[in-house]
Amino acid sequence: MIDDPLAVALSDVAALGTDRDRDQIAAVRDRLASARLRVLVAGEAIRTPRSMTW
Amino acid sequence: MTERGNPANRRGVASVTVYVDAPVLADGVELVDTPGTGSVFAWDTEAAHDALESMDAAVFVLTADPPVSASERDLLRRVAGLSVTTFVVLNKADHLDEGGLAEAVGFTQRVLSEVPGHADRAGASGAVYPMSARAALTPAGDPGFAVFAADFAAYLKTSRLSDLRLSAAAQARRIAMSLQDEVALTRRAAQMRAGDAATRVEEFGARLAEVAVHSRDAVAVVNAESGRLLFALNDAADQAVRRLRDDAGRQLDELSGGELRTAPPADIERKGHERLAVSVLDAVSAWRDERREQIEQGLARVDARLAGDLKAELDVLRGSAAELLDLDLSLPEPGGRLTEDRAFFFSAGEDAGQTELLAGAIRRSLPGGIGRRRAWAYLRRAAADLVGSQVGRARADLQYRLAEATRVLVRVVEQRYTDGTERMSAALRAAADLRQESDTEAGRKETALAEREGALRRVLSLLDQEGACPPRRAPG
Repeated sequence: MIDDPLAVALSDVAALGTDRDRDQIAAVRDRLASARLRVLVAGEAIRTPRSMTW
Repeated sequence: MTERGNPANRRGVASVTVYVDAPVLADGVELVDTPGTGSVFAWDTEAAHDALESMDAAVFVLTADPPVSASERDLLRRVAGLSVTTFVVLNKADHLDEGGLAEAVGFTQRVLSEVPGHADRAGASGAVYPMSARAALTPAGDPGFAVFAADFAAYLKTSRLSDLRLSAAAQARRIAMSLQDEVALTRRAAQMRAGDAATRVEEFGARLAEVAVHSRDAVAVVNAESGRLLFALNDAADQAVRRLRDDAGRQLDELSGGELRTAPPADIERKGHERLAVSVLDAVSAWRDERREQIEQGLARVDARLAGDLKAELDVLRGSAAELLDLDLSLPEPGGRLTEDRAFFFSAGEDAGQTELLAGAIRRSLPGGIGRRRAWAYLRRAAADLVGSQVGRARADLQYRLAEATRVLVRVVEQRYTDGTERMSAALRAAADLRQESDTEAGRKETALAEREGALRRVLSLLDQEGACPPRRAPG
């Protein structure tokens, strides 16, 4: 993992950035570590039924 | 979580995580629902504000009828610009005939093709998913939804991990580019310390300060629009009370001349009240939805306009940096914010005091015509009261939500201006400090800044290896 360019870049950006940047990078690292994709539902979402199932 | 169970968020709940046994969620995906920028369901939490900044992919839901509005187009542009992959769903497809739907799909595809960074991407053949979410909930299902669900599931299976890395790289790149702007501006402004060069730095600083002044103007625009919406809401509520009372009176006329013409007083009161409650609540609910939509559209329009104004100002500032300082800044557009939602409910129960309980018992036991006349008279008074109280409740709720949504929007607008300019302001302050330092100290700090700039270049080079590329639309 230490040679992964993305991991190195994230670590460097966190070191160079502000506290707020570090918070954002920490959230990104969490998602990468748990392999969890965050999908935003936007637009007319409020007007669609809430109980939709897959 | 409902307004009934936790009114005005008294329990201070910031977020709720729902665990659902759904195959699509099993492999590591988090769906983040948002009501949209202008929503009066907005609630003010920082976590919700970060929704746009922290997303990887997006499902953008539009309605087939009416077509895409200007504010939706702006939101789509911002969402698609920040997500690695965007699925576009066209809901309420069942509201249109075949020709109308084809037109709506074509129109949406044209709008999508205008989103920067999307027109030339792989799979950008205009993937729009027309569907009826309502029909999808019926046993028969909806074929449009089935296509979308299959494509979305396939996307998660094949591209989830690669998109997660692309998104992580894109987010890191946005931060790194902002930091690079800051360092470059600090170094350049510190170097331009005398004569014409110093004047040009001052002029750039003045243009940056103008943007901060425009932030206050933008807040005034939000408050003015909110005031206009409040006036329109109150006016509409007065009209709604008159119209719905007339409607209720006509409904009672129909009942008294028809179905309940010979009914005993007790039945007239009970059945009449039941019918009234249903029809009045339906009518007030429809009125409330209509007004909510008017308010949301008004707030979304002003939000979109102000986001566009800031983008234009940042473009001008970028031009100023090139012209005055010979600097090529990236100045990424602030992402904007979206918030979570809350709920609302009506109460249709009779609020009977002791006097009415006694009077009702007497009225319902009166014989024949007298009892019926008294029952109908009572129902007419009750109808007027019900309309007045329910419209009043809905109006008060909307007033409260409008005030809350305005407060949130003001914060969003202020924060967006801060996000867009704070690093540049910090750079100019750092440069001014640097100019005051002794030559030795200034030289030492200049070396540190050069090293920092070099480190950021290396970071961006690493992110290039990851393929931090512009966003793309869902494969279709």
